[in-house]
Amino acid sequence: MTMFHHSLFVLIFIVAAFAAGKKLSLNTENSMLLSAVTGLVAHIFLPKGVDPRSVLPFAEAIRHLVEGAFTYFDVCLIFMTATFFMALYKEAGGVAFIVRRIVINFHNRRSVCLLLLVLVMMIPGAITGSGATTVLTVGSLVGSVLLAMDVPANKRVALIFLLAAMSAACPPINLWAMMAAAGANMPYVGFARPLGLLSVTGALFAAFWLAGKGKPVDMHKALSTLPEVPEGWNWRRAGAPFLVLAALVLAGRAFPYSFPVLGLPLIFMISALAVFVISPSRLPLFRVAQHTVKILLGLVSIMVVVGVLIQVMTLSGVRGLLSLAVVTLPLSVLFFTLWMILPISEGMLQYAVAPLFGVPLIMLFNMKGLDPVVSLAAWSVMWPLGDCLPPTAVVGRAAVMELDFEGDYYRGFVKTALPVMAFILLLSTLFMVYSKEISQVIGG
Amino acid sequence: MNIRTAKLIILLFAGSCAAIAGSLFKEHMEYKEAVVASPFLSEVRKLSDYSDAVKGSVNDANVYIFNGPTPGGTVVLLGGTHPEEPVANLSAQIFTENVHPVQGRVIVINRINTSASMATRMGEAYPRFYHISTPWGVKKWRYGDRLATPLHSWPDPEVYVHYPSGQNLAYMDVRNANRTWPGRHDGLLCERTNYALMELIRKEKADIVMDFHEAELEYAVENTIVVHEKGQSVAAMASMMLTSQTFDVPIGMEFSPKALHGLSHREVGDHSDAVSYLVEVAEPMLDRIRGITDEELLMSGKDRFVMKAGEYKLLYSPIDESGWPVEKRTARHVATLMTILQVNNMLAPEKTIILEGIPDYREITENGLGAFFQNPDEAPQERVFYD
Amino acid sequence: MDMLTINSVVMILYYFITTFFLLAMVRNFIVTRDVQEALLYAVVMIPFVLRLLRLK
Repeated sequence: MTMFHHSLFVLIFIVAAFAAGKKLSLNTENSMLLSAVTGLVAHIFLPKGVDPRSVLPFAEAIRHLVEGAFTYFDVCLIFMTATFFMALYKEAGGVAFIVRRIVINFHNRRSVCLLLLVLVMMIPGAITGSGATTVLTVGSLVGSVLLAMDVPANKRVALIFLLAAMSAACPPINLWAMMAAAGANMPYVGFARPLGLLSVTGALFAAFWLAGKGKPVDMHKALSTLPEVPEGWNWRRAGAPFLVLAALVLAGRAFPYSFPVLGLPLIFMISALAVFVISPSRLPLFRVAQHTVKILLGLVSIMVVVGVLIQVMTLSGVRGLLSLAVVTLPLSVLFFTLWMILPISEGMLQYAVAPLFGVPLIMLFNMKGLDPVVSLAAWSVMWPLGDCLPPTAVVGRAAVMELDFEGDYYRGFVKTALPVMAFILLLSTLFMVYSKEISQVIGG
Repeated sequence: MNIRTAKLIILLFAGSCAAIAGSLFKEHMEYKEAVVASPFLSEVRKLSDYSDAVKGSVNDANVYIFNGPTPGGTVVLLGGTHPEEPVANLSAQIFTENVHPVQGRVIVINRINTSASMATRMGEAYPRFYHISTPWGVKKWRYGDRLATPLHSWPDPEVYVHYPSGQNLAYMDVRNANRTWPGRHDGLLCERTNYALMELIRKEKADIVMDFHEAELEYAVENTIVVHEKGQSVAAMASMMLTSQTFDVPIGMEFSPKALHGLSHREVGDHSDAVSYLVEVAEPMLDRIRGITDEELLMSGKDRFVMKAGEYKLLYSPIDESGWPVEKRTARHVATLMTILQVNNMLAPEKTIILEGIPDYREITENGLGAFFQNPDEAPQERVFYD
Repeated sequence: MDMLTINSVVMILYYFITTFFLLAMVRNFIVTRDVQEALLYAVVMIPFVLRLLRLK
């Protein structure tokens, strides 16, 4: 048995354990945890090939499981604090106030309203690099406006997901590009134009394809379906927490050497404090935190468990086997398959795909004379589209959760999003194939 | 089984895992690496003696200073910039434990980013330690991360804006000691560390600064000397000499890109009188396409998945069944520095640095590394230090 | 207040944030009646606890 066989068998054990977990009615997160533990056990007991190998003591094996759980700790903290901030804002009545005002002001100007919504959706993801943060901060607000604009449920959830995915891809922060660039020791420079071009085009296409047409909004009917706003809300009050949020983010960017590094979690917590201060009624902080943790359990636990799984896959050579399988494909095959491979792998492994596939692909494309910046930008727009795919489906699930979507996940939501996804994937593939030419035009 | 019993079992299971892992993390973090300085040690200072920017921090490293009897140039050796590249600190320590300066001065820091050596990289399944057999027993080092641990530098900004260029870099690179040169006095940990190092380089009037590294075989900057333009002729001649006379795999030479900021080969040269060099050697452990991850791979540098990628011409370095053993990688770094000094002595005789006691390429590859590390239990205690 | 002190204060605040959410998780772990949910809470709590203990 060679190391190739070893890693292949570990992979088979991982997949089989996941399937068995699902069969035993375990949820996705626990099935994945089971598959990680099974993979680790398989790695320990299966022969490892002809070359000498180090012994893996039991305690070290446990250490690997726990260490993997840390991989996305910072991302989890961002999810929690961002959601806590928005949950407080909602509890205070801020969301209801803003939605009602947008409906009153823009009910007869659909295109302007849509453009505004795209802007609102793009900002949180563009500055945090996380589609889930977009959904968790402004998803329900925008969803409510779309409901008032008479956009059907399937299209609503598809649009929220797609805008969130594009917001994550949008510069200045694209975590996939940043992680892959860092892994390849390449500066995160020159990505703004290709990323901006692809993500903004994708977002506008999604908005007008899915919600461009519809019946004129019956303002009184829409208002009657929206929750009442508590006494005391006005624009100044409603805008203050977002102003605090934007000011803190922008201050860090404008004065990077004189303004302290706060980090997104603390910025969200300070903004949450602003909500607490301006709220007309007293807010139950700990109860909202408990609720936040409860609704985020699926999202956060999948990040933790994916981290564990990646550690096991790396330990056992499965990660190498998969990366090798991708980079040894002929370039022409890669051109025709990456649009599929990237979103699917994102659905499986989340951000970890960026270093996993991104780094070897950058090396490969660079070696073949293609432009690595434009190519990586193109992949970094394709990756977030996989965030609605199983087993993790982080952003898709967040969108469903925030919009209280009760339709069929695949036949309703994903199917509705498919044409737009196909358009974005095609556009990104063209950017990748003609990366050299495009970099000359846009100065990638 | 009722829910309370189930929860109790879950808690016990999770608690045991956390306790086991926690004890291993603690052991890793607290392990002290013994260093037996060569008998020609002049003094050991702390990095904070040069700048209070690192005072009281984990990165306040030992600075080993060796003054030769005759004045000459000064070379500063930086090890452990990225503790997931073990040959960097092994090469530095070979000098710390063996050097005999005949002319000029040598200043060595075995680990410039100690914080990064106190935890392994998450998701990479690294071993915690690596070991080398010596005539007197097994010597152990901490294996680490590329970045300082968040325990010492938390949080990261949303995007890291490099000082002073204003270039945007990935957020985690604010914890990367080779992205934060020339540093900031009141910045985050790595920025402060590199600021203090710049102060050392300036105050000690260093002529040459050498930063040791390793790189994945998929990475284009491989088996090479990256040099600031001030050192062009020295590096070019050193690379020719090493390739023609010493190494089986050639060593290249390339210029430090002017637009890429934060790296030692650019910023040290730009912000001091020193000529900055950075050397890279192939380490298959760093390749994403590697197979089973363990200490064996780290030390032997043998990996069949990486070899397979080589068959597809996806690598920038050759690799075969003999791999890239740690002895060969270290020997290349040591020989590269010695050759750079040799060439520099010819081109700038007023800055001559002559070092003896350093094993040559053949001695290290044939005898192994263990022969060049001394036993801390038997050495005079005034020469034993801990990094 | 100098920048180093501010940075230290920010880091301490992160430990408070971690504690705050850990307490919310502990509370949810106690009240949940779902075994699968309890297991996930326990797994997610591990990094929070080890970070608070400054072990990782």
